[in-house]
Amino acid sequence: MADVPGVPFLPRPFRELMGPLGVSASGMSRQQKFIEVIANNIANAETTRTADGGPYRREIAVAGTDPVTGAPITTVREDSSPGRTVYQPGHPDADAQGYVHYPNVDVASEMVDLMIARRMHDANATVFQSAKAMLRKAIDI
Amino acid sequence: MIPTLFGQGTLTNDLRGALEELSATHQTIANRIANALPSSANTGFADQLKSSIAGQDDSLTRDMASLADTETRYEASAKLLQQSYADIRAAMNSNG
Repeated sequence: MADVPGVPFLPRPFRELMGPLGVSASGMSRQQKFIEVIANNIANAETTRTADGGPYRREIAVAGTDPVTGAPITTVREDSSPGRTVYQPGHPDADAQGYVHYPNVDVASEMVDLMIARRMHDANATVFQSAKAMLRKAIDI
Repeated sequence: MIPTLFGQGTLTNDLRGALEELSATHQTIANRIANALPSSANTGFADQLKSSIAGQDDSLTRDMASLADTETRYEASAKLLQQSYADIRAAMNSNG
């Protein structure tokens, strides 16, 4: 069984017993990362000026595995889709033609992603609780 | 004497095997749920709808049902094994 990141090294029998706990914990931390990225997107849905100069670009959390260790990893990438442009001549960030470039964040989509991430987090938490209950039963034998 | 109590084909041995198998099943379900569809990788409602139609939503529900089933079976097997050990212990301690 591969070591789960964040779970301390344990002797083999214990690792086998604790396996589902580690798997669910890594699943939960992955969903937490998703929720963090979604929260950042929603918080910056109207940010027209960032440190780089342009409007905020939506971030996407992509789940994958490390090609070397095989451990689950989550990478954050930038969404390259174009943002909306609104004609607001009085806006401090308006261009020469009076258009303001807004971030490519669709709050409704983010809310859908958030609901799914929450549900997946809940599912992993349920598996964790179930593994814990089973472990306790095994100890009681 | 000892093999007839704990050896192959005995209740305790069968129950131990069942516990190991159920534990492995539980691990598989935990893996499937932890590596289920990455939500934030989708780009919008259309993608969510497509994945829902493709049955990914159903598969999570099925996995959660299997999880409950596995946990209940594990609990029952553990209780039976506990009882079985208690019976052996009682027989060993009896003066008859």
